[in-house]
Amino acid sequence: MAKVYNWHLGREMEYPYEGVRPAKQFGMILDTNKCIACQTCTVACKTTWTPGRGQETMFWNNVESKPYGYYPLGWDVKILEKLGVQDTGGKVYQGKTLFDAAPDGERILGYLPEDADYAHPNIGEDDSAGLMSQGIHLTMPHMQWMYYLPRICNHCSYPACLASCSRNSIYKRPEDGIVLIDQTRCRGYRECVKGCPYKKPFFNTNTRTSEKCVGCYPAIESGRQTQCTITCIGKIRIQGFISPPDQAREDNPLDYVVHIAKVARPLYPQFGLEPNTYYIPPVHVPPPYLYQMFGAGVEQAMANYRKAKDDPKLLGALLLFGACREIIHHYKVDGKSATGFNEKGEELVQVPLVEPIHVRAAHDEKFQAYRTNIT
Amino acid sequence: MKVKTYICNLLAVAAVTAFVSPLWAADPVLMATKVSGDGPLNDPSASYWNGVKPMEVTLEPQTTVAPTQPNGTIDKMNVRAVQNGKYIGLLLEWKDAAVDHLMTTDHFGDQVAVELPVTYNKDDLPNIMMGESGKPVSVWQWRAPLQYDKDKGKPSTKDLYPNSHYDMYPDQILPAETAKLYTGAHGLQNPVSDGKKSAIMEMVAEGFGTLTFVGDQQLVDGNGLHKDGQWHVALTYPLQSATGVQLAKGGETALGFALWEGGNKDVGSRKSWAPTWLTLQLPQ
Ligand code: SF4
Repeated sequence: MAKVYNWHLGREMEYPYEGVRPAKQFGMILDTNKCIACQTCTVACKTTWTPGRGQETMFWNNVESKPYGYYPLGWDVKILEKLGVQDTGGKVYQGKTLFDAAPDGERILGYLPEDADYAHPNIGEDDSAGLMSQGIHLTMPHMQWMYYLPRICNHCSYPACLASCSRNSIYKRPEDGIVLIDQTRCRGYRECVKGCPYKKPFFNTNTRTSEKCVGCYPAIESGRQTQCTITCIGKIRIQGFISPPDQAREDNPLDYVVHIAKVARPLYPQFGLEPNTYYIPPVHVPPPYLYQMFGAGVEQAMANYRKAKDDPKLLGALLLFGACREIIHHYKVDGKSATGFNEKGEELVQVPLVEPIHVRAAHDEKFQAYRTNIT
Repeated sequence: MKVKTYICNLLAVAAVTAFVSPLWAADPVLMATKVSGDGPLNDPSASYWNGVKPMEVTLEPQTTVAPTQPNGTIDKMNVRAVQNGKYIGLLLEWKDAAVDHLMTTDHFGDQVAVELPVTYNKDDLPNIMMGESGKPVSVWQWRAPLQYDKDKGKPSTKDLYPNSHYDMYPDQILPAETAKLYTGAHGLQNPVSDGKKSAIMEMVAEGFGTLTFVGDQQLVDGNGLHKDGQWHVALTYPLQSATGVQLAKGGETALGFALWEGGNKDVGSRKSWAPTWLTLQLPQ
């Protein structure tokens, strides 16, 4: 085992291979506060990549309701239970990663889902954390909570899928950090299905190989964001490249949101994979639940998000979510708007920081009707 | 029982340690009985196996290299060898009441494999665990799911999940060329995706994680048959060939064996294996 530095944990950890960071790292930020679980991303991904034979129950992108939605069934609670209660410490994670917790004769602590675990991709949809008694009426804050968690492969810096594969069929691209399974080499051992705690590699029963989210690499290669990002009607996502914290660039919207404003957090950082999709935590959910899911720093992220209006750079970066199809490498914020640029510095999109307000008369003379919405 | 397994594991490790010493040589000897004819010896129910004495090969769970299978369920198989001057034939037989040939996420297939040095040198055998750099091994692996494809056609999703329903597949609505884009490994001719051509894969390896399919260069052929609660798998290979394993030279070679019980979720390195080489003699 080699020693690698995992900045999510704030410490070095053991990993079966040397840690070599790619030239650029595929990254994504998802604002859970804006997701409405319309599944447009899921369908965009499904029709683009997995409509074929043997892929019937395969969703490289899925959106599940938390706390009771899972795809595959119980994916996170099962592995959390296996890992056991860990000392999350403060800035530095003191507990075990999944690599530390590997049983004898295994490369990682994992489990293979059962076939039936894939049978209900949208189980638990809209189920809230507790019961609402008969005759109850809404109070604020809400008496119960739930939220939507959209998920893709995290194109991890220390992928468990890659570490688990005993055939060396999985590779992380040096140019963009996208993690791929070589479909000519894979023999369907399902070690990656077992090893990935996020359960993002799937077994294809027709090809008898494992397949996973390819990060829409053909789009990335031509400077475009992924299908799930550009089709999102809630504009909850931005996809681009994320730097390690010591190389964070203030003019990269992903770096700004994650490293500088610190409003987005990785999913289950304690697993030790350094996943590269980041989540703006749902601000209405009890912090202890979120602490387990997004690690230390989640409360700070929620507090910073609530103050976004006071930080024009953060506001600008957030407004560039879903603003254009192309990957935004640089951005700048002036008094009134945020502008996104491509790698060559060409302008891609400009968005106002505050939408202009038009006020209409409450009564429409032409139609002789009263308006309920006048702005 | 636990203690026994532990001791077996220790022995397996000891055997490997002994093997890496260049002084080590394979001791048990299997004779290839001469039979008539000049065609491939690929039929497990053929009469040429009759009267050929089987040799029992002891199998151990693979516990040396992660990921391991500490709980092997099959601890022996029988091996017979024949040759007709043109081809060698190996018949591998083991007890397995349940046929595992349908693969879904949590269902694995039965498999068996034979390993041989690509170039045999009695005094300098490759590492029995997948060969080593400069000393490649050839692996002939038979798979029950591929045999099923060959005999009955590949199972569809409907065969695997009778109650499933799917609106439409790309190949039902798109031109063939475009639909091919959605076929993944199958469209790339990955040998595990379809056994129509062969139920066996010929591969070479020079160490862990290097096992590679030889593709069009494949010379091995054979078939598996499940009868009377046993698998009977015949593998055949030409004694002389321009490429691949050079069997005729020297009149002998070494064999290694591995077995996967699908019902036990054996797959990849999670297998049972014979940790020492067996000498195969091929009298002219
Ligand atoms: S999320 Fe899973 S499949 Fe994706 S890179 Fe990480 S370990 Fe691999």
